[in-house]
Amino acid sequence: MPRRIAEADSSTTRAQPADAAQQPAGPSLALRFSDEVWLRTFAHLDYYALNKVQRVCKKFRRLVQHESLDDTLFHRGPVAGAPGKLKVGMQFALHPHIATFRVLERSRWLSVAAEHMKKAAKKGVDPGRTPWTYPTTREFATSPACTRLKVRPAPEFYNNGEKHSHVLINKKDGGGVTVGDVFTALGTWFDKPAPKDVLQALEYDSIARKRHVANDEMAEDCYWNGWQDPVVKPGEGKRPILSVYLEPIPYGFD
Amino acid sequence: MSANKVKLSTSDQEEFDVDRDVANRSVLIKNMLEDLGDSDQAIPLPNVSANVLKKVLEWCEHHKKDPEPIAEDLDDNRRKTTEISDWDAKFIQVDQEMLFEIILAANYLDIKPLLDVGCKTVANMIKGKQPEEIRKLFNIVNDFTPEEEAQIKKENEWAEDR
Repeated sequence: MPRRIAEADSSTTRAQPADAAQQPAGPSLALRFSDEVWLRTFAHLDYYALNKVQRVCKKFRRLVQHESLDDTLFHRGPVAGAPGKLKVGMQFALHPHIATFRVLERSRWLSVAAEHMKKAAKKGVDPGRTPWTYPTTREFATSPACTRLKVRPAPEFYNNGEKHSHVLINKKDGGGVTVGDVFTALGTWFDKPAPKDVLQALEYDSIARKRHVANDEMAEDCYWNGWQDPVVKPGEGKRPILSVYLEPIPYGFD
Repeated sequence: MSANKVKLSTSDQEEFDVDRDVANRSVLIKNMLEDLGDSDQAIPLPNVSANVLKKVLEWCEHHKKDPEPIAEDLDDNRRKTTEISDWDAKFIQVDQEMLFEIILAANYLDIKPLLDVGCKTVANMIKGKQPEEIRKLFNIVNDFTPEEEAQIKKENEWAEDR
């Protein structure tokens, strides 16, 4: 845009007093920033700020799609095959919508919605508008994305062997685990029957004998206290497979 | 003219005599000097005015002993982690249009560390602002149709701060 550059030259020669420059009469000089300058600026913004930025104008919306911002926006695909293969102790960033999701308050909603999704998938019908309809839930749950995520909503003391303790999300197609996958897994976990020894310890045994008590009902006794950063750990069993673990902050820590 | 001095000429025809190691902070000038060899001719900087160049040279003077920025990808990592130093923070406390002028000049003169100081400052201005406030800040026109805007807003319902 040669015309604009010519304008720049004339405007920069004009010495402006500080207070007058606060309210520039003409278009702001920022409009002449190159794409590279904007991307350098956006590199310092977090997930929420970038989502605001892409609502400003078409140019910003296009720029925010640039791959240099994929990590921040949870658009970076799985690392499998890449030089950064999984290693024990490797840490991932957790999507802010999982990090800030009030798991205990929304557990009933999650398990009902997960059940609804499962039925719809079985029948091969469109589940309609659900929490999973939001584009956000198609973003990756971790950054970079992982293909095996073990979601363990309850802290260690609640675990009664592998059976009750986690839901494994295993994307065999090599795609990344999404926010929606984690919500589905949380719903599935909350719908599982609560472990017997936990019911006994909390004197639920007489009730439990009569009816199905799901983790959902027990959730408030789990002392769920937020998530730790997802981390790679070796799996259990005879042939342990490395997985990324999503686990709560142990009780008494924050 | 001494070999340690460089003459720079601005868009408004002002000339600056600058130490060579100060001027070398600009990759553009550095490359020009290497191409020109020893010459008495002033280097023309048609995209920079005197008041902006003065400010930029103030930064170069203070940072003339900084190690050369290495590869661009290393630069990338540092860019995300380092904070603005106290001196730079004070330096960049200028009115908004001057800040934008410095960024444009740093970009043109290819002074990456100064460009990053400017970009971080602008990023801090964007943080916590709503789209409409960001438009006001930069005088940006909203070019979405009302339908597009409604759609984007709907998509982003969950991407809002709590």
